[in-house]
Amino acid sequence: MSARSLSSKQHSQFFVFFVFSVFFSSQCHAQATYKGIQDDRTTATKQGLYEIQQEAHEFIEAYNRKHSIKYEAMDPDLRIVVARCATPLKVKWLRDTKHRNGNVIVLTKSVSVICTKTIIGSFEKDWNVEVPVTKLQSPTLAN
Amino acid sequence: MTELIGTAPTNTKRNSVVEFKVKTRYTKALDTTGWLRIKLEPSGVSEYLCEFVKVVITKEDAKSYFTVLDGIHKGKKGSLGKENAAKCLVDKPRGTGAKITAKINGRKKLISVPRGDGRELNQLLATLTFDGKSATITLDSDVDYKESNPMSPDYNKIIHSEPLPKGNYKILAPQSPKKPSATAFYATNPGGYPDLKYHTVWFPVEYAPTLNSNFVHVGNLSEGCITMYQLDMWNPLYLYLISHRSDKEGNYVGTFTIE
Repeated sequence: MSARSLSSKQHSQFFVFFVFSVFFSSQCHAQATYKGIQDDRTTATKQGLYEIQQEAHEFIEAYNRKHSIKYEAMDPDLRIVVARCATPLKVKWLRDTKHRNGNVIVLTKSVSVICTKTIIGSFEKDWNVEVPVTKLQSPTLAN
Repeated sequence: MTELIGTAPTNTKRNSVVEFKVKTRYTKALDTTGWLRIKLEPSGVSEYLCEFVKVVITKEDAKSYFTVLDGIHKGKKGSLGKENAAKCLVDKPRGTGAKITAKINGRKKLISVPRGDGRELNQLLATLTFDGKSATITLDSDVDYKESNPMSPDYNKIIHSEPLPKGNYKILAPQSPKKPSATAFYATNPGGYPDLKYHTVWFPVEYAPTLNSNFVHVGNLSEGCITMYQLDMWNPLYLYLISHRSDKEGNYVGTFTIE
C-alpha cells in the first residue's frame, strides 16, 4: 500500500508515527554510541568506569582537603570491564609505579578502587581497578 | 664479570680449537597465560618472562640455573626446579620474524556483546593476514580518553583516539603481563570466547610519537591499537607472533604493515 492511497486520517496517523519513530530512533542511536568514560555507566550487570572514577575522585578530594595538597584522579583504562558490585566500593592508595624513558624515571601515583563482592552470577567474585593519580600543577605566578 | 657457563679441558697447542657446547633453551609458560614466572637469583624476586625467550643453562642440580640471553631481562639470572625446568625451558627454536598485514575495510558501528553495555563503537575495521590466516581487527574505536602515560606530552589531557598511519612497523616482544580486567571478560562474559588464552600478553608496536603505546592485543575497544576483534583468532595470532624473533637480540617478534 502506498502513502498516496491512505485516507487523510490514516495519513495524519502515519505522519505522527513517522515523526515519532524518527525522533526516538535518532535519540536512541545517539545514546547508544560509546564515546568515552561519560558513556561508561553502571548497568544491571556491569560496573561503570564513570562511577569507578567518581569513587576515586571523592577519595582524592578528601585526601587533598586533609593534607592541603592538590592531587587529581584521572580515568581508568577504557578497555576495562568489571562486573557490577554488590557492596559499596572502597579506595586505597597503591605503591608508586616507575616509568622509564631512556635515562628518565618518573614515579606515578595511583589508587585502587576495590569491589569485595560482585552481584550473583558474575564471572568474577571481586575486582580492583587502578585509577592513575596526578598532581595538579599550580599556574606559575607572573610577577 | 664473564659468566661461567661450563668447563672444557685446555691444551698447549697453538691456535687449537676446542668445541664447547652450551645448553640453550627457550622459555615456555606452565599454563595458558603466556607468562613464565621465575625467581631471580640471588634475590629471589619474582619476574615474568614471555615465551620463547632464549636462556643458557649455567648449572643443573636439584634446580636448573640459567641466564637470560635476550629481551628486556637480558643478563638476569634465574632458577627453576628440575621438574619445571624440563617443562618450561624447552629446545624449540624460534622463527626468524613474523609478518602481519592489515588491509583497512572502513568504519562500522558495532555492539560488542562481551562488553555488556549494549553500546555501539565506531570501529575502524581491517582484515589482518598472518601465517596464511585472516581475521577481523579494529584499528580504532573513535573514543576520547585521558592520556595516563607520564612520559607523553599529552599527559592528563583528553585526547581522541586515532589509528596508526599507514606504513610499516616493528613489533616488540611482550614485556610484562597486562591487567586481566581489560581482557579476561572476553573469555567469561556472554558473547565471549571461552577458549581465549594468553589475553594478558600485549605486543608493543614501535612508534615513537606514542612512546610505543600502541599494542597488538585482543579485544573490542581500540585506542589506536591493533586489536584482534575476532576473539577466536587471538590464540593463533599469539602463537604465531610469540614463536618468532626478527633480530639477534630477541627484542622484536616481527613486522606489521597497514595498507
